[in-house]
Amino acid sequence: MKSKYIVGTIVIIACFAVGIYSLKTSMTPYVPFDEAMKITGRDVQIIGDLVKESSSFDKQSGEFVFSVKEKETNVEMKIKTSDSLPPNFEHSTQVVAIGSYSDGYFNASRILVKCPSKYEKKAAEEADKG
Amino acid sequence: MTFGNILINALFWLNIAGFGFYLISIGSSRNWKLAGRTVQWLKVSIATVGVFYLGTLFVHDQFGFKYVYENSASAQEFLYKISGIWAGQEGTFLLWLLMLAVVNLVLAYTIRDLEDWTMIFAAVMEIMLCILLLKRSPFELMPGAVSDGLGMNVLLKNPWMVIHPPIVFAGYALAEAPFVIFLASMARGDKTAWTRLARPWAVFSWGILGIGIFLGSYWAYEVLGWGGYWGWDPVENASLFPWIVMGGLVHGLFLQAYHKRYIFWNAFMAVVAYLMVFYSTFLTRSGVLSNFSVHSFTGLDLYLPLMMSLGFIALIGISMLVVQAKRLPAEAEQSKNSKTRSALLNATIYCFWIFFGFVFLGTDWPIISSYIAENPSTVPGRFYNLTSLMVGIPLNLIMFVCPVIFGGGKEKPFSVGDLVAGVFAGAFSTIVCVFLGVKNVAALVFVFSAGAALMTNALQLGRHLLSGRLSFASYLAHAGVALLLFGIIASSLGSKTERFVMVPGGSKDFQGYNITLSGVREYEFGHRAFLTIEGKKSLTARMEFVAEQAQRMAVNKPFISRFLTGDLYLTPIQVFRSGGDSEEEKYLRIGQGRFDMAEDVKVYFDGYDLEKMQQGTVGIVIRAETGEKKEKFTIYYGPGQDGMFSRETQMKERAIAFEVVSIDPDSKEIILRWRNVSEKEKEEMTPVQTGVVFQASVKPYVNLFWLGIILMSTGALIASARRFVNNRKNIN
Repeated sequence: MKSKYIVGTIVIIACFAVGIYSLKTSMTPYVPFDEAMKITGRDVQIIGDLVKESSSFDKQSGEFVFSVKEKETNVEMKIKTSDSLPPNFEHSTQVVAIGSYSDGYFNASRILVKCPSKYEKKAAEEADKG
Repeated sequence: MTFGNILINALFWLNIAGFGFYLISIGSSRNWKLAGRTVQWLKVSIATVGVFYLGTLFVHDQFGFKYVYENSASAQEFLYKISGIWAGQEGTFLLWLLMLAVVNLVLAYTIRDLEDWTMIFAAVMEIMLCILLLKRSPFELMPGAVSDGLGMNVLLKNPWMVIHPPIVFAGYALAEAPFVIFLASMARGDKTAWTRLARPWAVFSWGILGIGIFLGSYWAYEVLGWGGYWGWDPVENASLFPWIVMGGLVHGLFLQAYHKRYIFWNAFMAVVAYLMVFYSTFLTRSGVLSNFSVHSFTGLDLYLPLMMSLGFIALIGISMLVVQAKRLPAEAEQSKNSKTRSALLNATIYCFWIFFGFVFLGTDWPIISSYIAENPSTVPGRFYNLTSLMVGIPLNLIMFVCPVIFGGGKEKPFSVGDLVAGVFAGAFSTIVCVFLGVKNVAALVFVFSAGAALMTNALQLGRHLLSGRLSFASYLAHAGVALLLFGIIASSLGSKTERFVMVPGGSKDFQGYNITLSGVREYEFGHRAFLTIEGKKSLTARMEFVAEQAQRMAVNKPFISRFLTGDLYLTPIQVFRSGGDSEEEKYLRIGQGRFDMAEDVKVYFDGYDLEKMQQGTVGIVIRAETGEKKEKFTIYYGPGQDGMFSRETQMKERAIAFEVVSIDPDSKEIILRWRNVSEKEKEEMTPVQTGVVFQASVKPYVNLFWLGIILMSTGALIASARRFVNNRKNIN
């Protein structure tokens, strides 16, 4: 009876150990721009305001390049991505990019955006009303 | 107060009344219970009227109501006006309340001795939803008059999205039943009565939640162009929480029905499953994960009421667990055969919990890490892929051996033939995946175990069906799970993907197909790319790059060609202009009589030329001024093959070209796109071409994934129906 519980406990602990190890190695922390430029070989996340009219498309490589500005420092970072852009990219205010920095570009494997959404619009309407 | 809000208030007070009537009915005359049941009928009726009333507001374009304004437009198709009812937050709460009222009405008539206490707790659950609705009603009025609505989010205009939310909310409502039955049983002191009564509800809820979740993933596959059916996005993961825990509960209740074990943990799972319904609602609707999800939920003022609901459910559930735990009977002694079955079922439940733990941890990691580290982190898909493999392999092996050990019944407890057949099927599946290019050893072990599980369950299913035994549902569900898991590995790790940049006339070979871009046409909402594909059969394909002005968002719709052995999936990524050196495009938005600047050119919108109005074409009269020089030209905007479009018109004085993109129906402003025309382009008169970037992939055996879901859910629904019938007949 006891051995059954011991084996069960060991298996569960082993599972969680592997899981936590995997979590630790694969997680992508949010970092400021200056830190993102120093970290190589590991994915991180950056967040910044989309610089309007900074986006361009390289039709040879099929890559999209745009700039984001860090709110606190006003530092700009050029982001290059071959990922399909999120549906609401053109009207986004803030952009989250996941990837790593090399050769002057933050190479993003995934882009998330924050939009001036209809819920915020609703809040604005209410503020007007008030 | 609007009529709709009167209904919501009525529902709130009726729940209070129902709560009171049932409370008085405990140990009292039958009349109070009758009053309670009348209240249940009234609640269902009023909630139905509420949903229908909201529907009529949508159908009749009542944009004076904020919720209708935000989720509909006069030009919206009838079907999507109806589904507008659940297109936003407030409407879904109302629909959820209706579903909950229906579930509770059925409970009132079927739960027999536990009716009074069950209905007391059920009323409390409904009151919590009423509070959310009182906070955020779909019947709030707009501050001023509007002529048209914003229109439904373009992503939701899909037939699968019409039925996905009602099914998920039906699953949420059904998940309440095991929870309130447990609470009622404990309150009454019936100790174990709840497990038999809750079992069909748990299975039913698990099946319906599964259908709802996977309908959502089918929608994502068809509409979002992610290239897949699951992205491990926090919003998707949150929908898994109650489903996984309920899956554990379904197996725990089975364990208890036959082996009288697990009673405390079943109670625990019933509580956690319903807690997870509210927790997933909290995660996706409170805005706490808005920085981490592509679904971009932003903060609503529901944080506090949702947090309070969560706290209340946790408090009531945990206190019942703690206070009543001692009153639960001791677990029974078991025979050897029974011990083996118990051990395997126990292991299954552990797997569900380990899986839940990982998905929960990964999804909540952005929140957890924001407390323990300076910078919050997210967890990428590979974490979930790895941990799913880790849990999936033992689960598959259990599904593989169970029919072998127990399928023959008491007379023939072990079937060597089935074991051998399972091993062969596993080996065959592994070979198929090796040929598809799967090299990951863990994934191949996973495929082996899934193939073996599929075979042993399919054999038992066939035997049960041939002999007319009704207890085949679990084999059907397990065969479905095995098929689904095999489909995941084959279609994802066996998938081949390539990215193409093409202009019309361009052609590339891909995985036995020749893909040619025959043209790109602009239409009122964006671009459509037309392709011809030669391969297994000749196809014409269409991908859409949609930029809906009203929603101020763009959506790329993929093209999917379905074959029995797999799908060809084309994901649109980007539209670009080719032909000049400076193709950067910019936009102007100009009201009539006003101007905007394109570099140093003042661009006036002078008015409309209605000469060609009969053909549906309107002329946009533009005056462009640069210093002393002025020129006037008309850009015609009218119906093309695929919607409204205009030809590009160049200025004579400057190398700038304009196109009308759309006319805002509300403000009557025109939206012009302009670009600098390069000298080279001018000299060579190179026609401007619109090209596209897209990704092509083949997804082998993806149909097994969908078939697996259908079998799994059908199995669960049949099993629950059988349990409901048995409960009515008092058969265990």
